[in-house]
Amino acid sequence: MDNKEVELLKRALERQKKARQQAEKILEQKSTELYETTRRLKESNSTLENLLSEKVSELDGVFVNIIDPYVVMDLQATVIKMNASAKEFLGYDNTKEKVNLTNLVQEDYLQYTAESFKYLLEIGTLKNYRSKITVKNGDEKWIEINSSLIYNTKQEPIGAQGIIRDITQEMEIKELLDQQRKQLDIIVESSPLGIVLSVGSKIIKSNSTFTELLGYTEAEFKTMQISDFSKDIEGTPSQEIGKQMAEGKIDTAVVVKRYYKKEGGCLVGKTSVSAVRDAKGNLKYTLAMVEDITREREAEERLNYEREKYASIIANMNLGLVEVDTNDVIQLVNQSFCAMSGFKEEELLGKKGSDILSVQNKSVLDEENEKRIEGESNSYELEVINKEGLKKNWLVSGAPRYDNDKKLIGSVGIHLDVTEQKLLEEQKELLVKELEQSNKGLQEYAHIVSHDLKSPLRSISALATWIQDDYKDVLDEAGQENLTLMQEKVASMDKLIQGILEYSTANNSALDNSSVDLNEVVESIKESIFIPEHVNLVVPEKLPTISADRTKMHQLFQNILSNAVVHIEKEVGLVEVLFVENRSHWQFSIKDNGVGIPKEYHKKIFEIFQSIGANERSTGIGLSIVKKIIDRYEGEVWVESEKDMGTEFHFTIKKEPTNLNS
Amino acid sequence: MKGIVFTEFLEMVEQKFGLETLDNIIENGQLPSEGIYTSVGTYEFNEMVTLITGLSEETKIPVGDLIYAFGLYLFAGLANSHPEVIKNYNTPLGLLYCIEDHIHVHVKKLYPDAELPTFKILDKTDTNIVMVYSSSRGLYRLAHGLIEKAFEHFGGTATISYELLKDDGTEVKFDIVQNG
Repeated sequence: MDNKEVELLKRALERQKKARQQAEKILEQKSTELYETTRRLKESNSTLENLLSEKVSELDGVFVNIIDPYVVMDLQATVIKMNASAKEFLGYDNTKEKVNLTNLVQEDYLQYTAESFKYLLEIGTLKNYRSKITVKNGDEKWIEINSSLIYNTKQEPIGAQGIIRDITQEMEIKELLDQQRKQLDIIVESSPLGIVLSVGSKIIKSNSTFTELLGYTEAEFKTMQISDFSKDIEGTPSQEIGKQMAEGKIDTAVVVKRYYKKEGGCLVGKTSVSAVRDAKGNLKYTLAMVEDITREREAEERLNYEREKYASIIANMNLGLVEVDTNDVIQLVNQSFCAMSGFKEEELLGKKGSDILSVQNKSVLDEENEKRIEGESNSYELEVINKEGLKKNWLVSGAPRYDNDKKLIGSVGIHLDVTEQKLLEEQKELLVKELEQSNKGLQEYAHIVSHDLKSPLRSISALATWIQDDYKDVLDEAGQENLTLMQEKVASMDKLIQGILEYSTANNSALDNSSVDLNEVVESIKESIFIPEHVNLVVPEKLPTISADRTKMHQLFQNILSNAVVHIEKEVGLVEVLFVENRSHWQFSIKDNGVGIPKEYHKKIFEIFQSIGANERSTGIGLSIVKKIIDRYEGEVWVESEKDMGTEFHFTIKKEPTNLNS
Repeated sequence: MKGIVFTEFLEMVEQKFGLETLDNIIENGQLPSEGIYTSVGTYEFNEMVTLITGLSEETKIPVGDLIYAFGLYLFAGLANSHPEVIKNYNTPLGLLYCIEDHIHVHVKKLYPDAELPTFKILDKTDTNIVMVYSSSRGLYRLAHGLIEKAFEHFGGTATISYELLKDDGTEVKFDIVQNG
């Protein structure tokens, strides 16, 4: 080997050596870099591991700290784990006692629970399981559970976890809503109004009242258009309402429509339509409520007919009719009122009644109007001056007038012209007054006359007695007899005067009515009057006790009886007192078997100073007193008699006399 | 430039032209690395230029032909050091097709600071591939040698024609048609 070659190889070797060193250096550096990288990788690895385990425990905590009750159970539904919320909600604690969830489920839900559990095992998850359970304190709760199975590493199910939600309140609200919906249904169904829900002219729903009204079924309605069975008769047309509702211009409307029934015939329905809108205000439904006003319509028509009828009666009746407002301003008059007052209708309307008719007794009017404001009906007399200036008397019957709200709006008065009656009445009153005065004068006259006549008569009687006594030795028999006759005539004259006095007072003195036993009356008369020996006065039936003036009854019976007993010529005389009770009167009869009274005298005997025959004891006044008393008791007196056939006097006395004091 | 390219180049020079030629181009080159290379290092591209230029002067062979010859030599070196990469492919066309997307990705993994050329595929059929080489180095003849050897590796040949898209050889279109 030459030198050059050695040098060459040496240099080549040197380069190789250096290249190796360089390579080693690079490798060392690379391995240091690798080491650093590995260390950093380890660090970041452990950081990641920590992070992972934290996340896992956090997730665990999520379930434990979850607000809803969370339960882990084995496949027999025995609780393995439960969070605080579950313990609180169920009242059980699985760390203190064994809790099996199936035992909490109420009996009604056991089968459903078993089926749900089976489903969970098959599918692996169970959503919205709902049942009712009884928690430890006995409360019933509605719960909803969402659960899923838990598997071991071999993918075999070992248990299940579930989140329980307390839906008791939710269910209560649901029940309440159901209940309210039912109540609403009842209200809707039992409403007397027909209720229809529609979209456009299509019926969606209707209540039973509506179906009954028209006779279609709800199903039939659903196939029909509203216009198929109804027609507008009043108010805005339905189509227009529908349009305005859709445009949002109106929300409610009322129309009167005619509805045609399935079985024929129709009814008039007042239809209230309301718009039901969605949240955006778009028309969703139309709600119509139909009220059957057919009868109201008929009643209204009848009422109108009656109103017209009465209006024509009022217009044509003879009584004047006026309606005034609360200020007495005339609102309405009829023809008769115009005729009565002499004014024309247009002259009266709008005028104040008391002014135009110049009411004279205004105070009466004010007083009566006052009463009418209080709602009283009344009647009173008015003095007015008619258009011709004549004074008229009107009898007015007034009644308050009300509007529909029962508010007083005035009064209505019916007027009767009583001017003529009034005039007659005044005349009558005048006559009565005059009569009273003349009667009084007459009585005074009779009294004075009888009194003045009696005193000279008593003097004559005394003088005659004196003459008879003083001159009995001087006077012959004829003179004696004449004096006796004179005494008798004077006594007769005295009786006559007494009779006149009684007659004049019979009519006058006040009746003192009390309970009078007529048996006592007759008995006392029997004792006080002269009854001939051959005459018997009998009372076959006990007489009643009546309400009357004792003295007058005494006079009455005495006058008839004393007449009867003295006019009997038969050997045995009989006088009977009989009575009959009528509805309003007592009827008495006094029957004798005496001489009788000829027919021509039957009326005359009751007139004053009339007597039959020349009996000294008869003054001719007695029966006229009888007549007077009976008149005062609103009775009648009559006689049935024929010559020699006896006499029957009949008279009646009203049981409850009315004009006792006149 | 990767050290393996230098070590393979020196290997080829020693084999083909002898130790003396090798020593000459290193000693005459005044190289900053003094001609000391290791496959795991990285060296200036200019040193390669100096070495090739020196070899061309020494042997009177044009630079382009030397580079082409180096390409033919380099394939075997690369295939020896990284057989797992070649193993993934059944055909040379498949290999070429995947240079950009697969092989260069592997290179980047091992040598993150490697400066690699790009191969843009314009057209590909079962027997033909058209691609554009582009690199600031302009070593398209190196690529040419490598491609040719790749076909040889799979036991085939190809007709490889190229067209310089840029005069300095930094962008070259290759049209490769597999024979047979």
